[in-house]
Amino acid sequence: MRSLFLKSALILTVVLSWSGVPAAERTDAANGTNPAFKTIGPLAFSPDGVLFAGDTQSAAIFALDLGKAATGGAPGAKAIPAFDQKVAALLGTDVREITVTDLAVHPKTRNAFASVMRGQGTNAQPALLRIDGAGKIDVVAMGDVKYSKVDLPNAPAAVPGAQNNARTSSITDMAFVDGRLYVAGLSNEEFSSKLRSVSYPFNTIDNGASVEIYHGNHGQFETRSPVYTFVPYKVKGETNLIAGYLCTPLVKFPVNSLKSGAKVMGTTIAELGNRNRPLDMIVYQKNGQEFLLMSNNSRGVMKIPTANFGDAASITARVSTEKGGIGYESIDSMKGVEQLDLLDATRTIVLARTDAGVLNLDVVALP
Amino acid sequence: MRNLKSAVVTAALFFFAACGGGPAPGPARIVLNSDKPRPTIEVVDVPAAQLTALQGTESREAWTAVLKVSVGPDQPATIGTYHIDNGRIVFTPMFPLDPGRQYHVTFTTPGAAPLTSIVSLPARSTTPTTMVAEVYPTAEVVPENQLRLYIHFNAPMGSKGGLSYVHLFTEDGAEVADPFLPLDAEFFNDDRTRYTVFFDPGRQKRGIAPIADMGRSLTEGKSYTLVVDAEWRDGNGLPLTQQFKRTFKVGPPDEHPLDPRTWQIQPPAAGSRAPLTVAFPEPLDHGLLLRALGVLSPDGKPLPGTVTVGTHELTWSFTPQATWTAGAYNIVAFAMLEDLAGNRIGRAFEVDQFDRTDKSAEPEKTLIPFAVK
Repeated sequence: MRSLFLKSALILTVVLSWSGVPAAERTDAANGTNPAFKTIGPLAFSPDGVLFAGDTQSAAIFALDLGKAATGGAPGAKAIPAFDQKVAALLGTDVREITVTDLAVHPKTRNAFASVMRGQGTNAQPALLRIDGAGKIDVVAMGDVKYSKVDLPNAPAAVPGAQNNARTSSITDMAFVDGRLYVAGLSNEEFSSKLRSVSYPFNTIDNGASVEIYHGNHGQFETRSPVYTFVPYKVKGETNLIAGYLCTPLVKFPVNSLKSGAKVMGTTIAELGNRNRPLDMIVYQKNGQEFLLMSNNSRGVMKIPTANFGDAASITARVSTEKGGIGYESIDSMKGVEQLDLLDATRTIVLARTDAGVLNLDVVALP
Repeated sequence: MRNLKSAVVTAALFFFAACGGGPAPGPARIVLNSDKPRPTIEVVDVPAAQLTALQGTESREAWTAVLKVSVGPDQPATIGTYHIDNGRIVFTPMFPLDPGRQYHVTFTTPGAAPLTSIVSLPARSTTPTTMVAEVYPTAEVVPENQLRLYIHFNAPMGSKGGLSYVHLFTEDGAEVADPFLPLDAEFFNDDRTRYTVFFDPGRQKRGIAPIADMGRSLTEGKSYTLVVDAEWRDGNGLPLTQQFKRTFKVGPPDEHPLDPRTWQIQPPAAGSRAPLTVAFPEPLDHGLLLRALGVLSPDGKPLPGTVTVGTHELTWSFTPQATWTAGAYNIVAFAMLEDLAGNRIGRAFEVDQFDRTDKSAEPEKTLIPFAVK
């Protein structure tokens, strides 16, 4: 898998309603202590340590001031073999009842935080764990945690008060960049995604923008397709989002092009192949070069230099597809990686599942 | 020991009051107290001097050294809070104890052999009661580019995704490889009674690698059988009562946008609460029919009422809360309304953008007028 099909001239159309969000889709932020999660999923830290945690069932995002829960542990994070089994024991249950939903590293203490669901069915309960540099796992007691919360507006039903609206939307990824939180989500009905953008603190603004993503595969067929995961990175001083779609290649587009009413041309970076889907991504520097490290559901971990991302052109007319271009390296030493985050300048922390199904928390040197 | 129910108590009696200072209440015992919303594990009949010595114990580690609760003898301590209440040491688990699970409890005091016990709440019933209630679409023929299935259950399901339990077989019994979107995100509704399965859009949309390499999941003219395994676990961890099977045929792909001008509207009579009924020339998506169609009153306000979706999702009926009055009404169709293949009003699921003349965003709402007389 040393070659990579580069569709260097594909198109991404982004339709924004930056200022035109209907009143029905605005929601107000709420503040308080003791956040009441129904579920806990994607995690993202701001540079100063605010933890954004997505509640997928409530379609809400909590911004947590961890307070004491962020301090007192040994700095860093340590690998823990059979992490899921140990978590199950701490939470008083069996490993089959545990789902680890995300992993994020605190920007200052470098402690790792993991979001976990305990149990099945409607009685499943959320837990936020902290793993410190000594390998100690603590459950964050939410009682003292201050939060602000913003709800992702659900699509309104055409019949007011309808009891049979079964639509839900889940949050698949979040990232905080330049003062804004970007959120990707999926619905269980519409096959499309809203890439939302909300500035923080939540309570000083409205609900931000709703960015509907369209894309044109091979520059021809424009279809709705959900963004599943994405990561911000800077190229030539400009912040970009590089986004993994469910049925398309990896696409990048500049954040500052997301303006009201705009249709933004994006650039496809890589085609990932059949049945492949990016699970998680980080951007890091090594030896003066920048790389994208990406875990996939079927093709292991890929390392892609970002140096040429900025030079690929977008298309404005029908073209034939091209091959070639940016190569990637498969990192054979990293197998079964489901979640990853940067631990420090030289190491990544990953949740990796073995062939036997055991979930390990590993600390790995950046490749 | 008021109101103390010892649901399961198998305490070993190795602990004796050795510290003096008054009459000992008797050998300490480990009990499970299920007489409260969140059952606790307690040590009762602890000598007063021992309790006094434990006053001021704060850290989890210090408490765990005295009273350890775990899911196995060699497992780390389960997290919870400790306190002394009315002569008892009380452990409240951070998460409710699982029904039927055995919890190992060890009470350790200086100079005495540890007191050990295994406690458990009664197990739930092991008789399955959950089943697949319906699968949408219910049409006998679906388009080759069918976009999704809704699997309805009669009770909440477990939190694990269900794709590994859903299969598609050809008419000669071969299983279709990878027909569905390989996604582990939550596609249940809030009460976990409906699960959405998306056909792999990579195999539905033209011009991308999966469809070029693998073709569509469904082929026009063929029959397929959808199977939902009984092994799929419900919210109580139990399997389904039985396997579910549904055979359907596949017609040509549907790549045309919806056209409301082809809908047949049967307006109700003024003064009645008779349903407004709309008939479509093709089945529409069941989930979206329930929320993307509504009725606007003559003054433009959404009418409250009840929606019913008819046989094979070919009709939609609306019964208002109040009686109809004569006037000019509108059916409102939100943009997300789709047919089985994801086509919307005025916009097919996929559009050749270079042939497309209208580059504007799709309309948020479409109004279809009708009169009540």
